[in-house]
Amino acid sequence: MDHLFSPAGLANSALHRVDPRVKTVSILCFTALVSTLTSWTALLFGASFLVVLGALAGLTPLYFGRRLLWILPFGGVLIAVLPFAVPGEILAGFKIGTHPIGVSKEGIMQALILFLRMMNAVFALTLLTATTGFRGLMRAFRELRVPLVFVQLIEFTVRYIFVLIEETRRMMLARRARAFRTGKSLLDKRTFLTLGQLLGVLFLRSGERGERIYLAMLARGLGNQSIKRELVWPPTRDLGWGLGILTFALALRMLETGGSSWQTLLK
Amino acid sequence: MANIIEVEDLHFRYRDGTEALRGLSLSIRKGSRVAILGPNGAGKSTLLLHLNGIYLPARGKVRILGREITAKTERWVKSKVGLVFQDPDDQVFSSSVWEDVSFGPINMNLSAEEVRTRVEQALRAVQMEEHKNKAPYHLSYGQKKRVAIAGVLAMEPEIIVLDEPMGYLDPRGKDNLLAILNELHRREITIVIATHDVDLAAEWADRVIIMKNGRTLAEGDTSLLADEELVRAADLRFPVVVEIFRRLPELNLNPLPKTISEAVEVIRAELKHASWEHF
Ligand SMILES: Nc1ncnc2c1ncn2[C@@H]1O[C@H](COP(=O)(O)OP(=O)(O)OP(=O)(O)O)[C@@H](O)[C@H]1O
Ligand SMILES: [Mg+2]
Repeated sequence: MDHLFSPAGLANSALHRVDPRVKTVSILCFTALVSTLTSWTALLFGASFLVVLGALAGLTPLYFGRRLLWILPFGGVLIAVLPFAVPGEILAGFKIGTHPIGVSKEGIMQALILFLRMMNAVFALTLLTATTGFRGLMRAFRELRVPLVFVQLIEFTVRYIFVLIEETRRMMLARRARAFRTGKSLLDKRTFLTLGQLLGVLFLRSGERGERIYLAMLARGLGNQSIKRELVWPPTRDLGWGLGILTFALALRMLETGGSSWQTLLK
Repeated sequence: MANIIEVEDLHFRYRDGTEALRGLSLSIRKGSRVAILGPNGAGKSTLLLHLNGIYLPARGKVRILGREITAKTERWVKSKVGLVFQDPDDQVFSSSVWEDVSFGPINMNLSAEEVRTRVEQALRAVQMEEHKNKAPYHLSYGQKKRVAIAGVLAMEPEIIVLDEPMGYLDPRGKDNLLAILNELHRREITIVIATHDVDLAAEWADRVIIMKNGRTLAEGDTSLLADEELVRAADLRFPVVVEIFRRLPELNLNPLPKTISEAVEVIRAELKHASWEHF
């Protein structure tokens, strides 16, 4: 299973080799800067820039697209509702029962901007995780002095998600082996009871397995790793990459606030 | 200091009140191959968790390399004693085989280069190199077991403790594991396994420890496995080779052969003897 944090693309592209700390800082700043953009052209430029960088690292636009699809269920609702909720010039109207609702031009515009911002954020994080990998990212966080508790919290969450998924799979399999069928309505009493019970046992079992896994990690010296490892300043070439990414975001920001008149039309 | 592991009057009680260990004592010499046998629930796994400092003794002492395991030394002991868990699902948790095997070496603060060579060596030893990028949860049980073993090999400990190492391995996998254990033995690493497999114990071990109800029932060489009273008391059974020769009292063998090579030796001698009588 390809997961949110697995590295992808060319294994050894220039971007993959950039120091994880530089990538983390520059791409997070890029995301922050780009999310303040308000024109769709600038946002589109931002996203294209990320896709081009991705291409250099061997990531296809399709890969970015797929990641966007994963996130869409979460942000999608808001985007779908905005055109109806924002007052303004009505483009199309219809009635639900006696209640008239309309789609406003301003609403569509805001939805589009929101979507593009989300797209930028998702693309940026995709680029970061795909070229850095989970371990590199966590190391970057540590070396950037993110509090250890946070880093460990993330690490354990990611690890245990698989424990939970696996445990569920095994339990479903065991139930199915004894002729339990899902797919009927959840309202079916037996399906409901069985699944409810499964969920309960799942928590108990994963709790216990989680504990044993933790013991196994301790057995392999978890926590022995001292953070005192010598920190080296990233090489100039890496800093160059970071600077480049930041400059692009800054340039977009400046161009926008630079007050070119075509932008104000869109606001 | 001949005894690399010493356990004295060890007691342990689980949170739910189960007394898993009740005054267990044993000692293990450096470089030996030890099989711990005993019925289900005897406390084997619980004991092994003490050898690596995961559980600290509630009462009694555990000494590794002469140092007592306490809250102070429990970190140190983890780099000396590698522990392979009974259920690989408890041990293998990362999203790729490679990542999982490198978990221990990274915790030992080794250089990236050193980590890489160790992981490669360990994966080669268990013949899992070609699966290094796979997700462990997509592997078969026996393959997971191998990854679990590789994860400990990569730490290059002085003592390796394996809980039921042969479980789920195919015949070839068992032979390979035996070869690995023999190689480790040659490098003077002390190996302790907990197992139900009396044939494996008879063939492989040079010392046998039999446990029951959280105590040591007997400690000695593999001739313990031919001791009728002991075998019955520990709910074990005789190794196949022993069983065969027990049914041939007319051969008047004492001691009984326990390994296949010993058996072959005896049979060959008998054949020679028989052919002489023929003339
Ligand atoms: N986490 C736990 N909580 C409570 N009791 C436990 C726990 N783990 C083991 N026990 C109990 O402790 C006793 C010893 O268990 P242990 O797992 O050490 O046995 P074992 O010799 O390894 O058995 P097996 O051959 O089946 O692996 C058993 O009675 C068991 O039920
Ligand atoms: Mg056990």
